[in-house]
Amino acid sequence: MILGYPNSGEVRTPSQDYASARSIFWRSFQVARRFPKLILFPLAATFFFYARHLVAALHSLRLSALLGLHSPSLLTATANMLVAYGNGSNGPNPIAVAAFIFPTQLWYTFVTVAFFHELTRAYAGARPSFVRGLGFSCSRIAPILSWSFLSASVWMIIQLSGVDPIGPAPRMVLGLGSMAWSVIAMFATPMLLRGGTHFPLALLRLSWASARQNWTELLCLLAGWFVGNGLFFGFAKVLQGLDPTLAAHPVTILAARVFYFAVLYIFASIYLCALYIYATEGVVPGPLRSKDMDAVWQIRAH
Amino acid sequence: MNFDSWQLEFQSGIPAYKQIIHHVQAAVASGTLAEGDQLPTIRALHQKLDINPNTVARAYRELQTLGVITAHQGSGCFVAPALKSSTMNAGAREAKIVEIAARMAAEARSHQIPLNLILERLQHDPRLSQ
Repeated sequence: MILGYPNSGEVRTPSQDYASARSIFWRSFQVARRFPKLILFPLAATFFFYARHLVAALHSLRLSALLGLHSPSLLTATANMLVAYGNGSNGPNPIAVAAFIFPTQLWYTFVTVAFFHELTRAYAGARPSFVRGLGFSCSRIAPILSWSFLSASVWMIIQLSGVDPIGPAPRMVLGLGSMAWSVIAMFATPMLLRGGTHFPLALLRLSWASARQNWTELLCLLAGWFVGNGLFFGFAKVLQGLDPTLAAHPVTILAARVFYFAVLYIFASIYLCALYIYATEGVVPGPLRSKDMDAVWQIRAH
Repeated sequence: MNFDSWQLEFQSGIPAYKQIIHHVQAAVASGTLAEGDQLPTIRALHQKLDINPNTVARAYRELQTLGVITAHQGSGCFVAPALKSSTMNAGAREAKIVEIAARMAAEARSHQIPLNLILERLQHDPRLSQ
């Protein structure tokens, strides 16, 4: 089957798309290996996502007393809220969910834009800088705020829809809904990097258009994500079978979470950024090597 | 030629390397870029447009294949002498036809004009068919 791309006038076959996906994968791997400093961005971006596990681990290790977490302070209140939200014992309180999701989403988008900015430089062979990336995000604060608001609102609806005990069918619909949202909004954050419209709904429409244009490469990303998830949870099951106490220990959970983000999330982000560059520029990103420079001169003999 | 006016539309759906090709072709067609004029280096253009250097390299390679520019080792890329259609080889001619058609289709889509209206006009308007 031959696929046409709406605006570009370019026609590519699925085999060419898979070749591009492979090329993007290897370039992503090279960049991740060459600039290990890039790990700082996703770790910072997702800090609040696993902060509740950190708090749970601190409680478990009785370090809370050392850090003064038992005192009636703002820190304790935050910690308790995170633990309660994380455990979901009484079902999340909408206010607590909003207080958690909105700042978390804003911080996540802010750092992710910085991450993508530095990744585009890293793909060109330049050394990434955490501070410069955050500086760039500051210059894009208005669109980051508006996108974060929309995104957080959608995630909040998804979170709150799953509060009450519901049957497997609605749960599946909810899961599919959240997956659909992830796919539709996949390119929205990288789009904040460059000029053009930054109205959240327009971003969403453009993100969906990009996803449709590059569905094969995106499918490879999702397939890799599922395989990675499968391996991760498979390993967790094996560990649970071997030593249930160790598997349930908050420190193990925290370590697993950090590892999960470090391996899967970081690599997926790097791949996504390369895919975004490929979608907008039409070329798999990479540093300009002398070999490539020479290729320009070698096409035609004068 | 002032290359500062070159802007890329990243949300247009047209890949950046193609937009660079269109910019150069438009500049050559309008006479803004004359035969022998030098194009910016790959490094300068990738920094100016904030895109990957490979994108600029690809645009220049394609422009060279189309016969729009020539590259001289150690000197850079220059606008090639005007290419007469009779001297264009079959491959380059085919590539040119596809490129013109793609550009026209993209332009029509961006203004939501059906392609058949454009084709009708091309066939029946004597000023356009000349």
